[in-house]
Amino acid sequence: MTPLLDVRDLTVEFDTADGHALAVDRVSFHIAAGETLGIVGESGCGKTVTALSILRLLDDEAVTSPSSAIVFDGTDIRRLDGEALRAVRGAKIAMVFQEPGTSLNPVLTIGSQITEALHAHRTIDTGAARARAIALLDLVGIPDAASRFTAYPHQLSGGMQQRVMIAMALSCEPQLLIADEPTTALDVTIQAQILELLQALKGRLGMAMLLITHDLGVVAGSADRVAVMYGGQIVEQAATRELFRNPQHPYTRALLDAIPRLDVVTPRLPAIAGAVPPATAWPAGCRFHPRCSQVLDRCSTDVPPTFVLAPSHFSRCWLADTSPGSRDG
Amino acid sequence: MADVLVDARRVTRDFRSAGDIFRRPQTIRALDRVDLTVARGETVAVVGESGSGKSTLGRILLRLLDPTDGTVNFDGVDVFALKREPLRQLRRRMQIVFQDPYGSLNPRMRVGDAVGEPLEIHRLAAGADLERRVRDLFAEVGLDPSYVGRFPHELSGGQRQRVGIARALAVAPDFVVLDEPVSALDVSVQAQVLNLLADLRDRRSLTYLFIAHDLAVVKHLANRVVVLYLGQVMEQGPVAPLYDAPLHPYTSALLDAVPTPDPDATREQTTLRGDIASYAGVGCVFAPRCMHQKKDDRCFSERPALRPFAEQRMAACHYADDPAKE
Repeated sequence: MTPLLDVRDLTVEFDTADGHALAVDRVSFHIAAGETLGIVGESGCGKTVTALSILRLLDDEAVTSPSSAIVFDGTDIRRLDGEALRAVRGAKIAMVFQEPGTSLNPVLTIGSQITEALHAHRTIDTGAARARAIALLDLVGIPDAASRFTAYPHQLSGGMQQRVMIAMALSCEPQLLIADEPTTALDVTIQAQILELLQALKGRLGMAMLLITHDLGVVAGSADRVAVMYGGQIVEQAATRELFRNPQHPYTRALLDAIPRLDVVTPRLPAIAGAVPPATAWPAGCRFHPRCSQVLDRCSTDVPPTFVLAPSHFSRCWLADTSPGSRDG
Repeated sequence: MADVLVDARRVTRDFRSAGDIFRRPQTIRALDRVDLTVARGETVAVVGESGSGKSTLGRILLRLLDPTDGTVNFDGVDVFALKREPLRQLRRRMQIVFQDPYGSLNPRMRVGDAVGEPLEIHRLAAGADLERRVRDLFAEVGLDPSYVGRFPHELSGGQRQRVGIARALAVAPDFVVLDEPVSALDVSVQAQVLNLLADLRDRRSLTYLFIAHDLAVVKHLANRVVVLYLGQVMEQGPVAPLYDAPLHPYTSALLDAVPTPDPDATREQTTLRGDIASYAGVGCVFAPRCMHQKKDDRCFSERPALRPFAEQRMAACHYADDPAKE
């Protein structure tokens, strides 16, 4: 079956004051209709750049390599322009960002912001747009939706603002929703509500989702498959249960261990030493090797290929190399 | 209690909303007669959602905000009775670390100067001595001392939070309020900063008030937890029993909201509905969102008192059962 979104060899580069940055390096993944893919990694690993490049929302300074392909519903988004691109953006693929407070226009009512999206993509009269906006606010669980239509963003809590952002994103019934850290700025209680809402909406509307987060705990209950990104590359990819039960890449394991848990008592949290290096200076060999607790001699010089562990489980780590003599370093 | 460092009694704080042409100004009670003690060397976590009053409480303890009513004693001294010079002396002993290190650091000040500034203000160091002490503080919080000349935007979120911690520690305080110190950070960096805070506490014999919305984050650091909702204490007690068998339904709901990194874990069907919203009734402030099976008319007609349970626990719920008695 052809996937809804097929990203192949996506490479995005920038020229910065500190030099040439390879923000995303030959990233490939696909999402089937109705499926949720989680992309997980620390800040600076290329998650958001990947998401923005799907919608072609990157600055002109960002160069996407000519060999990259972003095929959505049979069409390469990279070849679209003008009207054709506008017909996809916001209508077939919609996006929800991290901070609803800064994404909403503070001087417009939430109703006018939702109807704006409707008018932009459809021929719809004012009354019908209003009715549809209220139905959307109701769908995302905003109590007393009709009276909230005229509310301004500052009159709503952070959780309610994020529901409004989701209502806007859903206004044209997208086939794919990209949610970039949709719960990171929220309280845990509201995070749980929003994740639950996204799950329910996905089932109800049959849309696919790309869920981007730094927290593996967030994707555990929401994603069908997970891609872990480090240093602009996907370093491990697997079905969600497989990834949590049988993580192969040391970075995935480190991210899992770092989550503060209620059910585990440890005097110290297992932190990942150091920080993500800048995209202008990825280390040679495996990009994670300076922070890796299981580093081998070869890791600092040899770039690990993507090893296939099972039909849908990949790891970009020499530890996954099962060829004879591979552990000699 | 032995050796109380911070003793707050019946702390109450009202805010008056500005109002506009459509709405009259309203008085909102952000804190309602909260008692809180922190023993020397203890870490007390104050946990609740945005709007629970936890940051207001932290600010009042440090006299960054005046209470409408109530008292705060620090090491036996009434904080709000102090005049200029003794207050300045006291401020050296109590410091705060904010959530967003980017928002709390001056973007045009080099981070080394930001860490040295409190030392200058309190006239504790100058010249070469100041420089040496700033470098020592950088090393102590795990920052490369060569970073002193950098600006905040040149550092990562975790590094900026280390700067915020170094700045708070510069004047060698006894007591530090940590106001959501890791909630703006990546999970991997959260663990680093939490470990650092634990190390610093042990090395410097610090007393912490740790403010957070996430019970998982405070579990490793806190000795005791105070759960706030709409300015009132719902539950408080030592960490182990509070996490094992929460007394108050709000505590249970906060625990259930923590994401479990396990795809097979089924979330309890007690996910808290709605938002924290002001409550004008006479009953329990949590009643409108409460999922307790026994919730009834009494919850809306009679405010539950904060009452004691075994193991030095307290809870304000009519239907809290004491697990130790069963």
